[in-house]
Amino acid sequence: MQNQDFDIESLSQNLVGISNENQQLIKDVQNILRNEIVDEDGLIKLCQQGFTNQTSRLRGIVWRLLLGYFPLNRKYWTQVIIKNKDNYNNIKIENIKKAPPQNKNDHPLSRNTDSDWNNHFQDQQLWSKIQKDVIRTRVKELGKEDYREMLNRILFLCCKLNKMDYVQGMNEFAALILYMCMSDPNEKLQNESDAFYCFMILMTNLKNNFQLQKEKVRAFQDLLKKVDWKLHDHLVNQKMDFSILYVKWFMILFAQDFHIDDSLRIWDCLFCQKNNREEFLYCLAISFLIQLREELIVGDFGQILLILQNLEKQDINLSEVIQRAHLLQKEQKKC
Amino acid sequence: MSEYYDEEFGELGLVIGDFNIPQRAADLPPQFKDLLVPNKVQYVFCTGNVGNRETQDWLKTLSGNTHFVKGDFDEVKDIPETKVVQIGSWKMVMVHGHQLVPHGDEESQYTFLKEMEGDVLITGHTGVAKVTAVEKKYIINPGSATGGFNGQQTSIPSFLILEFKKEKLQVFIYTLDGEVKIDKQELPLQK
Repeated sequence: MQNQDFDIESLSQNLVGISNENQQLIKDVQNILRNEIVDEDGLIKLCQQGFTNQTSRLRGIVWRLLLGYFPLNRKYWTQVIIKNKDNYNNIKIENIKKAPPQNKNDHPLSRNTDSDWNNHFQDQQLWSKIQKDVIRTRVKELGKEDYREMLNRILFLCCKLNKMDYVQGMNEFAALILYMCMSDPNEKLQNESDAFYCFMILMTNLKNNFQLQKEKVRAFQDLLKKVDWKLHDHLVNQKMDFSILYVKWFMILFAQDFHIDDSLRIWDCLFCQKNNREEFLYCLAISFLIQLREELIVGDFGQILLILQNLEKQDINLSEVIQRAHLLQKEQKKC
Repeated sequence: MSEYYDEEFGELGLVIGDFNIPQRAADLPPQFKDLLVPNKVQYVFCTGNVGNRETQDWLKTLSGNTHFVKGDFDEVKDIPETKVVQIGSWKMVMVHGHQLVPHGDEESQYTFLKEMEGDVLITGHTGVAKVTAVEKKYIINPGSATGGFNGQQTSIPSFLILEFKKEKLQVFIYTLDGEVKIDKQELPLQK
């Protein structure tokens, strides 16, 4: 089992109903994966517009590669999965099911940092805090008790191991990754352990993500001014506060409220950006604004807010938005 | 998460009483106040003689499940003389103790517990913390939380924390003698 190469031939099985263009994309990606070492740049070029329902079968492998969970050398993939399943089991046992209080002087009301009882209460508090968010996260897709437990565990263990506070928004990220794993058509990729490690990697990459950074709001505003000054000026005249958008778009990274397929697709694009994630995020945000330009430019403060705070309810062609975002990014590079 | 924890950490109950605030004591000792914070224990068993309304209200902030029985100085009307509470495999019977004569007599306590078909008798009145096994049952007394009880003497302030497990009851006895001391006793369930 350890030496068995990860199967990628099944990716091109059952292509009924898939457009010729998408069938080609799947086959092209498969070709890249067939090489002993994956050509990451080539892969990114193919995938950077994100996956739709027809091509979502590629997501599991692509995310794992782009996050660095899978090495570029395919012969190690099966090993990685198995080893991490074991590691994850040990982590669960060590952190969720603990040995009985060892210290003779330990007692239930102790607040010592090395008190098993104290740690028990802190763990319970953390678990409950996370649970409050988990029960209302992606209810449609992850409402089952099993999935909720998984989501709770992943968030709990990540916070505990990294000694970090749970912050709202983490639940949306973990949910996307968990859903991506558990809905994979390839059974070998339906692993809670994969979801856990991918989430840990993501959290490491997004270090200061949940802090409002005023310079970034400013940069966003400036870029809009450069690209579409009329729209920018209108929004400013209507007393639009750009930091409102910052939370949902730049901190939560479009992971909340959107239909899950759309959130996943946006994340496909973001992962393909590797080191240019932030820059692309600005372009994506501006692309959304331009897409809604017609309504925004005639709207007053209230109407603008209504539209932008309910982005997921607007009738938007996501493919167009993404394409425009890429164009904007190219244009900015020339400047 | 609970399914993982039941084996190691059981539910907690605070057993406390005979405050007599403000009649015999001004307040709960600060060291005790420091330890007893909300959301750590699932149950509070109060043996009676709470004293004033404030103290009773304070007890209610510690957990959602508070059980009171009437002491001889409790003026509140809606507290029962005795109470039975089932926690998992443990049937707890509560009575302040001034009703049982002779006071503090093990035999009369045991007889009462047996009549009520309980496993553990939670009782106060004597002002002295004590954990006793009689036949296959247990009699536990948290003593006085403030050290001021209905006698002329004062005693060492004390209370109990119980950890409920399926087959045993872990008793933590907290006393204040200069500093807080904690003793442990393990009571196996015998039926």
